[in-house]
Amino acid sequence: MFEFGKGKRPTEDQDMPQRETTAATRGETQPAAAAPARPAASGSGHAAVIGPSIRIEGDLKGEEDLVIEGEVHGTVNLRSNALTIGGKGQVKADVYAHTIRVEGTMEGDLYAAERAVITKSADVRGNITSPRVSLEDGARFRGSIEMDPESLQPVFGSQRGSGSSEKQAPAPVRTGGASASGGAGGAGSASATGTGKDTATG
Amino acid sequence: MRPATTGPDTEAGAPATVRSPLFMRVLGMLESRERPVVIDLGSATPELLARLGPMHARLEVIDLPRALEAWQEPPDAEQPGQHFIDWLLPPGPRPADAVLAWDLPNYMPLPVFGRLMREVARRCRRGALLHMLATYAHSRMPARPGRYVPEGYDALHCAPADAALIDAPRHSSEALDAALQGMHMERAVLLRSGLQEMLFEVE
Repeated sequence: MFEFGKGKRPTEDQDMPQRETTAATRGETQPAAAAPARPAASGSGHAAVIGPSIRIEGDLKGEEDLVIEGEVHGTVNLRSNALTIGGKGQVKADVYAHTIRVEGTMEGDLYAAERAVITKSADVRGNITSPRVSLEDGARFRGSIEMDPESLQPVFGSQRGSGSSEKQAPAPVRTGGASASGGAGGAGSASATGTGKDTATG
Repeated sequence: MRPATTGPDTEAGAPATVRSPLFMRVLGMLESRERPVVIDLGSATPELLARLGPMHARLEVIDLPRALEAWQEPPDAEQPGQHFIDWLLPPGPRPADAVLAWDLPNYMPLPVFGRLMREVARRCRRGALLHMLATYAHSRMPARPGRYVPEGYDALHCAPADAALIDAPRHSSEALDAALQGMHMERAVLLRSGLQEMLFEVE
């Protein structure tokens, strides 16, 4: 389930409306380290998809794997799950996830508890903090790559690299409105769970 | 300071894998340090990242050629603006142990390169090492900076990014030493590729 923050950081999942999130299957492989003991579809090949026509501003938090093919501005917090910024994805956000794979455009800081993969089609401007970072030939990158596991301690605490689904107090706090606009589009259907205050037009 | 070996046995601009003792010395120094910090003025390569990963290093990728393209107003050739420097070299959490300049000094006027290196040196700890490759033996060089990656345990693979050749500035080690204030030349070695490998130490 994903949630969008509006005005304040979301605190507990039960505060979120129980709308169903559509899962979509992607042929590409998620990093293997994302697999065990995680709550959602990690390792099963299923992930929620934010389609190319969707634009989200605000905080995005969830407990299942996510593929972003649309546009996201704000904060993405998937501490126990895998995030893929697809080839059409444009993310301007600080991102916290168990594993992060970037194929599209990313501006902001990435914190990956287990692994960050920057593919050859990626264009990344920002700082990456992860114990394992791989970068494919041809990737555009400007920023810093911090591979010291200690650097993640303040961000992920003991959760780092464990694959645990245990909830941690999220670090990123952003204020300001959140909105999601657009419709499900592209190859995968996408839906998002929002609070009553969120706007969703399409 | 004179190059330590004899002349080149490859053509200007040809890809080559050459032994690079000074680059290996930099890697050796980094391995001896805890959580080392490396400033890479070139673009990020998987090979360097793979080498630095086990050291739990921090790699700061400046990608100077692309940064210069991305910068809206070209920096003043005589005195690049401080705001450009600040944008180019944001402060890091700890001082750098090594700076990799690759062949970039061949593509910048020496005063500009010297100014840039002064700013870089401010981001370094005392005793940090600056590694660079200057065209020395050939009068022509590729029109754009090349791609350099560590290969094996003692070599550097040099691949030109451009088949076109331009005149090489052939900076002497003395001229570079004079341009790089706040650093002194530690050693220079002429590589088989015709590049002169140089190591400076931050004072």
